[in-house]
Amino acid sequence: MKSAKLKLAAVGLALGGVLSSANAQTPPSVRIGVMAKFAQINGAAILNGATLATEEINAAGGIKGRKIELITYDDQGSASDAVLAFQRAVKQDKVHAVVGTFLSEIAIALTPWAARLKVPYIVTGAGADQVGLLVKQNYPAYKYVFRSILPASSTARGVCESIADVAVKQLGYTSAVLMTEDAAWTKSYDEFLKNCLPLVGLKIVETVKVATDTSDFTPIFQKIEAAKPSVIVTGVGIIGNKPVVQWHNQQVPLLMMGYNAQAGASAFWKETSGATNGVVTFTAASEDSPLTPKTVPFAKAYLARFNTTAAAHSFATYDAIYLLKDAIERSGTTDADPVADALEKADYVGASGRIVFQGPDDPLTHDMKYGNGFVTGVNIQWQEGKQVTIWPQNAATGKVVSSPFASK
Amino acid sequence: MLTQLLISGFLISAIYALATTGFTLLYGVSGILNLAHGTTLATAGIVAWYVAGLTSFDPVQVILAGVTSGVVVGLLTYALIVRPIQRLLGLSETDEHVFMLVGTLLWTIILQEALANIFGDVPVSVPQFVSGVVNIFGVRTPISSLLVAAISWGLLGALWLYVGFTKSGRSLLAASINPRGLVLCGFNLALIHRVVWTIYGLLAGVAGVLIAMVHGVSPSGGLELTATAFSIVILGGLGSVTGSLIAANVIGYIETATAYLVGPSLRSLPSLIILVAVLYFRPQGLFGRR
Amino acid sequence: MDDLTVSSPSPLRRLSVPTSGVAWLAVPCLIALPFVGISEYAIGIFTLGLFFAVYAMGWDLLFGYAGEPNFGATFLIGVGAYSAAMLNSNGIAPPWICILAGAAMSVAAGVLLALPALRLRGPYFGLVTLVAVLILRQLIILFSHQTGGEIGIAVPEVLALSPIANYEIALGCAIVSAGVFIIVARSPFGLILQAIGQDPLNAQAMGFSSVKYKLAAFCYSALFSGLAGALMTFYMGTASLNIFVDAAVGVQIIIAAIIGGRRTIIGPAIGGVFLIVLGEYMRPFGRLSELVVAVVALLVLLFLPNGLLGLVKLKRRAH
Repeated sequence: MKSAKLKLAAVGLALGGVLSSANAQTPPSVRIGVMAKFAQINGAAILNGATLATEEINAAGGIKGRKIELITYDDQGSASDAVLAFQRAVKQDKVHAVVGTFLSEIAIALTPWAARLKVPYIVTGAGADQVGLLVKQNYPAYKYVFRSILPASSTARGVCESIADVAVKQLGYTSAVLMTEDAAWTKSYDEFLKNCLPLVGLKIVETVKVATDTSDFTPIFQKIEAAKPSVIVTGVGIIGNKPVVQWHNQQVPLLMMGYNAQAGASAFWKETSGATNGVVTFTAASEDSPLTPKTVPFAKAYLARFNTTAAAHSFATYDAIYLLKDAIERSGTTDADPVADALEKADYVGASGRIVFQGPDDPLTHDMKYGNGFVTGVNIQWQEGKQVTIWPQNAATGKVVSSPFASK
Repeated sequence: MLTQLLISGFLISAIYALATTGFTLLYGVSGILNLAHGTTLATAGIVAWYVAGLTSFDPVQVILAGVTSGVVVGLLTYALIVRPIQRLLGLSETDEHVFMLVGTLLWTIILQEALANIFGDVPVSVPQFVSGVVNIFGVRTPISSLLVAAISWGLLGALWLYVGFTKSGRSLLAASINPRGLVLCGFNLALIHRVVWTIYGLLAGVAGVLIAMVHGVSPSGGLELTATAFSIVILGGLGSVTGSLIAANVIGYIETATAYLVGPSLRSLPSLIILVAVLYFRPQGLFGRR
Repeated sequence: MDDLTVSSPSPLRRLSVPTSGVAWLAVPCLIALPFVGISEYAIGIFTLGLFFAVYAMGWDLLFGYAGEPNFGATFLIGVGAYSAAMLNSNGIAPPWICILAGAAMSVAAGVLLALPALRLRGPYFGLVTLVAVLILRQLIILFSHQTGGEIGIAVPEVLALSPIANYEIALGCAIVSAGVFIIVARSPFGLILQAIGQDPLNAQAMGFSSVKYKLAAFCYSALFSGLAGALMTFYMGTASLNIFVDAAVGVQIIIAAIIGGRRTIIGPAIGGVFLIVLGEYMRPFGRLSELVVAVVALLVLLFLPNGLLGLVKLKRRAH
């Protein structure tokens, strides 16, 4: 008897649930597409950042009562796949915005499609300056495209400013070899550093361009050592972990500073079996540095949720979802044009800094403004399995140490 | 400068030679260009990396894990791809060639995606068996690289002894020259093929672990390794083990010399030009049979 | 040409006459396809599939008829795509001129590649064409100031914005290519080509210059590969290495041709569309989709070596 009653009650409850959810007019969700190659660490970082932001926003009541529905698109790292996936997102799934993409090639391929299909698109992984340039050249047709990760030239500026502090002032270095991969993004990176480094007191004694398919770095490191610099300034991303592993194996007695796209990720220690010890890299934000009041809470929540630390792309994608929320709330609609206009006027403090986009007359339209008071990025150094933030001073959690192989 | 060039040229050539031998042996004995070669190397390296991270690091276990996975992948390639294609009816010789290339390439994609799904698509490196460096004529050289070169040449020596001086080794040689005659003499050709694929797997397994230690490997980097092995084999002559050993050294030294004397970004250009020249003037390669 | 007898009644004739008859009937249906209420997204998939179909047909003319395995299809496509993109991005010429120039450049590059390559046979020919792709990639990266390097080059102008118009352009390209390829394959020229492909010694003994015929086949293949590559550049809005100059894409083209049924022209076209549609259908499976597509392709290779069109042929025989 008792169980029958219970059953009845359960049915009643279920019915009631159905009825009430049918009665209460749930407002339509805000659909956001997230795109990357998810099998890769960078792609996973993008997806995780978007997931965390979505969960937080939905738990707090959504965007003006509308829940966010996150739809994932795997671009398989191919631009033609990405174009198809983008059409699917906009035409089939009717997303209101797209975030993500790690490869610059894909971001450049999708930029005209965002304009053709008129949908806001925030790049959160690709760093080539060309994206901002394309928006500037084709403004206002391309006004739907934004980027919440630093472009290569801003990264170069961050590298230069941090080296002025860390390498010149703290370690007393005077000369450097610039070692960058032979790729499109390093063009503006090299140019900037060749001007900037001598100005802050670091003489460039040699510039080494490295083919992205290089497997043996022995000759390169020997050439660098022969030039007798005090530090190696890097600009590597596509090459992967080879320079770091061989730098360690060959015990090159010089620090590697500058930008290393892989070394910013927390899994890099494990992937290189610890060879990255001592490597310094510039990155958007790190888990322990209080850049803004949101940085550390985000990094902690991310670690708890995904059991890995947040990478630069996680910060960028997390901020991108909140930027969209902010723009939709200010414009009061999910229509593409008002949202794009609202994004253009955004002034939002995110986990990676205060985000304000450059206008049509600035050098890289719809890229974030860089510098004090906006987004600055951080420098981290790998010290015994941990990423220690060493720059800027207001976010630093430790001090730089010199090369593990330096002759004593 | 010259000593630097000689030493690093020697080290890289040893790796190239080891990475190529299995590939060329396979073509020599059974006429198969296994385009999944690089991915087989990568599988061995990645499994070894994974095992190295699991246990308290033990080089023997790591090598064993790598070699086992190399052999498993080798035998799977034979059983799932090569054998079924050989059994297809109504294919002309060119058809079969193309089918074999396409089949092993599809197998590459399958392996690569499986690896990426299990371990993630990231470059990984196996820890050095021995850390530290020694000074040879003023050139700081990692002990592990010397060890790799030693293993590499040791293994190639063992292969040479096996093929030249044992009965089963000689039957491999015979199979490469006249398979039909071998069958007539009462040898089991299918068994020979299985032996070849096992040896191939052994070589690829060791090579994969060593490459993962010195340079690092990734699931999607497998094709790049295939391309390297491929160009060395073309230069040396399809199917000639001696030829590919020499070609490995030629390419190793030329790349190193270019990196030292001209610039690292042009490293691979001269070998590409040599490759085209060889294909144009002597398509069978330096030591190939037509 | 009457005295020319090709040994054994060509399997092509038996197959292609009725099949291509059906195919010509399908043309009006294909033209009308966007107007029967399929989504713009589906039209987008077919558009890409049709470009792919042209590449696969171009490969089939070379392999299925001339017997030469071209592993460098993306060399021809890439030259067409990049020529068009570079002309347009520098503001030198309007889209249509760029496209024709791209096709012409592709033919020129094809001749440049084919003259030395055709001296070689079988696998060596394949190797040279593969190396050609690698060299083109290196050149594009080396001259990145002009070519955009590995991240590609944006094309400022478009042919058409509406998905339907883009679909019809791609369809037009595919139909014209299919028509020309089929006519070429069935002409006396095609029969001689096939004879050379199957038995080069005999054909040469009969006085046919194999290089001359194969070179002509290469030019046809290059012309339409380059044309489709240039058209696709304007459709995509960018030309980049991983879309147009990639050995992996070349292999995909071969897979499409084999899946569809080699030596049939129409088969590879179906295979090209099929591969793109399958990949897109599998997209919700995310990471696993590439794996599944490769497994499906492998199964077709092993169990249907004559491709999907071969399946039709078997059925017809059974009746």
